Amino acid sequence: MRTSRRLIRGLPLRLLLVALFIGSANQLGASPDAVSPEGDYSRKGADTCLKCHDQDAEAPVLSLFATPHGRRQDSRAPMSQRQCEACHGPGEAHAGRVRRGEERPAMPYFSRSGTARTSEENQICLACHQDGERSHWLGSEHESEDVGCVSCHQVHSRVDPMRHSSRQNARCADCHQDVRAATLRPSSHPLSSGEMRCSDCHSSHGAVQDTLLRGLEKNQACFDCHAEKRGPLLWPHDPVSEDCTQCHQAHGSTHPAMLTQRPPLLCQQCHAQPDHPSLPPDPQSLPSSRLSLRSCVNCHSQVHGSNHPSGAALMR
Amino acid sequence: MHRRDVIKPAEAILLTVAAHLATLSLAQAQQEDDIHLIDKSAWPCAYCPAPETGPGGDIELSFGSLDAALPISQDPIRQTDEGFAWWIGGQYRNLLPNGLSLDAQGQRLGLDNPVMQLDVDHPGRFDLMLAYQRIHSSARRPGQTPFRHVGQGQLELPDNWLSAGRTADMAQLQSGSQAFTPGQTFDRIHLGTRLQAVRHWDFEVKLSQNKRRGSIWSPGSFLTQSSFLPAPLDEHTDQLEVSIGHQQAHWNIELSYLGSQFRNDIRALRWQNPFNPLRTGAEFGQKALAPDNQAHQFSLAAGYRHGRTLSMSGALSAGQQQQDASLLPLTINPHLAVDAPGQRDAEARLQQAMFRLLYRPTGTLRLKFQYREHERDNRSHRTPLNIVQSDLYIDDPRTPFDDGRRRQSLKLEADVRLQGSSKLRLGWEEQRKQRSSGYREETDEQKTWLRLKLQPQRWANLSLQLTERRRGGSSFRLNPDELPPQNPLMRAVNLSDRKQTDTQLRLHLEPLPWLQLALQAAYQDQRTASARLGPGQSERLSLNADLSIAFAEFWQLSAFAASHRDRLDQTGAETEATPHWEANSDDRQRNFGFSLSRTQLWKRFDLSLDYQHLQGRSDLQTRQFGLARHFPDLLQRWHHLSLRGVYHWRPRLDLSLNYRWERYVEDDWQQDDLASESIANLLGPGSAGWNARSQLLMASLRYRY
Repeated sequence: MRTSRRLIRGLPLRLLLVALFIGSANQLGASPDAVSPEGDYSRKGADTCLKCHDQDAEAPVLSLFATPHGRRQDSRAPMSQRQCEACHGPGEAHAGRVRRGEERPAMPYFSRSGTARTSEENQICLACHQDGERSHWLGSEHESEDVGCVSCHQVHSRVDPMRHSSRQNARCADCHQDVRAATLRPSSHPLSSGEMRCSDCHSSHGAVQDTLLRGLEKNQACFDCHAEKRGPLLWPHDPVSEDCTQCHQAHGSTHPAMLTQRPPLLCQQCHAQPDHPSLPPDPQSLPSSRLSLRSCVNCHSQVHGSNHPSGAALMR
Repeated sequence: MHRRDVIKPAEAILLTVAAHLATLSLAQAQQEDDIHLIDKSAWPCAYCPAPETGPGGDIELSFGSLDAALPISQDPIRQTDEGFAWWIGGQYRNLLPNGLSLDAQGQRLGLDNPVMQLDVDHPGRFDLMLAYQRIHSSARRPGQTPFRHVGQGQLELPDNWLSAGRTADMAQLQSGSQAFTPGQTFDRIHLGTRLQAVRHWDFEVKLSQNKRRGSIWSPGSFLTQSSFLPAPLDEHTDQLEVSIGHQQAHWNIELSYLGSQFRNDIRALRWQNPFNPLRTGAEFGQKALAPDNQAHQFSLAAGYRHGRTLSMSGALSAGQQQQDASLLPLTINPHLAVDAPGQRDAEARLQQAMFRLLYRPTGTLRLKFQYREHERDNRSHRTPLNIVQSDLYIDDPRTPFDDGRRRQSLKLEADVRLQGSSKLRLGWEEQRKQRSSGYREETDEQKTWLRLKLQPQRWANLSLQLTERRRGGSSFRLNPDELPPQNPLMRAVNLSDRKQTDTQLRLHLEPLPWLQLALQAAYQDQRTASARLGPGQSERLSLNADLSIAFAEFWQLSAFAASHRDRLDQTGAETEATPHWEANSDDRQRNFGFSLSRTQLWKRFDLSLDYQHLQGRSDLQTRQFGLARHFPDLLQRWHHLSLRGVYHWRPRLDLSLNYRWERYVEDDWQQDDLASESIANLLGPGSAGWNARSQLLMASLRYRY
């Protein structure tokens, strides 16, 4: 009885909490209309902007109308809503008269001299593009580093350069310079030639894995092309099923097969048991089946694991 | 502590947070009302250009002469067969009045590395993508082999072959060998479609097929004797991804399925032993190739945003990997009597979970909480199996290894916005790993980090990252008195306590619209404690610089330079505990490149010059009983030069000329100057030193329509 009275007494407070929470959830949202700064919108929308931003302007913008963003017949496209100001924010101040000597106010968003934060600008894109892999954008490494959507994507371009392999890789390399250097090494994935893209393995919009690797399991990005290593095998090699990068440098290496280190030293980082695995590498024994060519893998060729019933030593 | 002592303060806090959110929501609701008052009927978009309907695109016809293929090249044209070739490329676009758009493109059609892609897009209804790509690669060094029936699952030696105890005594080795350079083609076909006919719903299907065909070197051994075998490749991977998602203004959810099937049309490689058999009946050997396998995974991902203050996202998945290929016999040696191994299906069950919460109590502070868990449960049959070593003798029973594991990680981060665009991030993460391997081995790794980003001027960005990782908690300790039966040191050394620090500094300057400079320096130091064997200390230093200048109208110069160094100290011992040898490796690479272009020369010509250079060097020194021994250096040098000129002959017609020169030189003590018979117990592929040069001259005619 005392317990039930206590519960009843606390009930209004609990109900108030739930109501406040749900009520605020329904009101707050990320729709395009909800993400909007203060300020007045222009009198004529895009017609106001295009008076200056025409085909002769310094920064070409008209290519937008050849892209899905510019399709006015599509009710989801920004140009069918508040047109240029759907993304750039209210433009009355920018388009209005400017006194001599004064600087023209910048557009609120996506402007060279604007003061909006990257996170605020990203919210405008996410108002429509919060789906699929972008579910994990908030809190991802790129988002935490204030990488803007427009840092990589060009909305006003007829074809977004991110859809082109070489240009995508070059854009990633602008920040990830060490990775670009690695892709130029003799043993690497064909990234420099444009036959592969960074986005083949990484999800730049957010991912569950560290380093924005695709997939929910660490090796899943590797198994998309290298499914022969997936197994499971009768005789697995532990580092293979745990993490391919324990032995391989996926971006590129000066060692064959993109290895981080050559055998026998690579293998001897784990294999320290007695007998031949622990023999020191000795240049005076060259050429030798234990050092030359593939070293340990000359005999233990099934280094990724074996499904042969006698393959315990990874030789069959 | 009573429950009421916790509940009351918690309720108070929650009430405060909810009230805070409610206040924000009311303010935003008012703002939305103001926005809906805009009269868009006065926005006719009269100046908006009409979309260009109808077909358009370009077609390019190219002719080229390649004097030598260069497999190491980053340029796909340089990897194809040498000689004269022609190929075409181009693009076709068509935008229909109803909004449907078609975009088809092709590159290098006629060469070994073609690419084709078709995109069909109907906004608001569906989009479709069909792509085909072939990646062709061949081995860097040509070789030779005495084996016949290359490309098949059974390799035999010439009829007159006489086995020998050493390769130098194989009389028919040179006369019976033929040239063989492994190569493979990787064909990828991808079909993806996305349906958006119902508002807020997405339905996506992706189908892909990868085919890998060709050959590779794959050694086959008889314990102490080994041969490089020209092994065939005929592998297929089919993958299906289906997802259905729903998005609303403040939440979204997606359910998806991923299925993958791998098929290998050649399950085993049998070869004739070129050596004198070490045991009776070992004239042939057989090794298993990758078995057919399949994987299935269901996952659920969701996100929820409570305004700009709170957001949550999470993902759950469950899947399994299976392999039920029938096993090969334990041996093909007819003189060894062993029972058949029976059927042993292999299965691993995988589960993943991730939850992320972001809370922004003020405009300048954001808190992040993330929990992640991954579990691999090995369900394969693990009873001991009598094995036959290398088709030579029956060995003691072995129990298949259990590669199950569990990984949990908890991450907390605070993000503080300083003045302007500057910010500070502080974080802590704990990662716990448990491995099932006969005994449970558990390690804890703690990671802390600081990231500071400053923008002292609008044109200058500076960032500093400091990270420290400490791994401990392992129960592994070396026991010098114990001779382990199955070498637990295989795994244990890699689980020892470890400390790693990373420092990274990045500077980006754009003081003028035509000038950009980016500098990056990164240093990593790793030390392994509590294990006197294996890797000890490693260091990594990376320096990068990028420069871009548009120093005059129509002139553009960009350059980059990179330097990377990896040093590793490692010890080993022929007994378990006391190290008696040490190895020091030092890998260094330097890259340099620049690109100079001049456009609209006399309003007709575009010219460009590109040059890239790589220099690599690896030093290895070992020390045993105080005596130092140096290995020959591993040296790599690569030069790439490209000259290109484009003549705008007509408004729709361009003519371009392209000359590319490339040179690669490698001195590799592990591979150079090794004839097939250089090593007594290893029949190698035969490999001379490598010094390759390649030139490509090509002309292209491009027409735009």
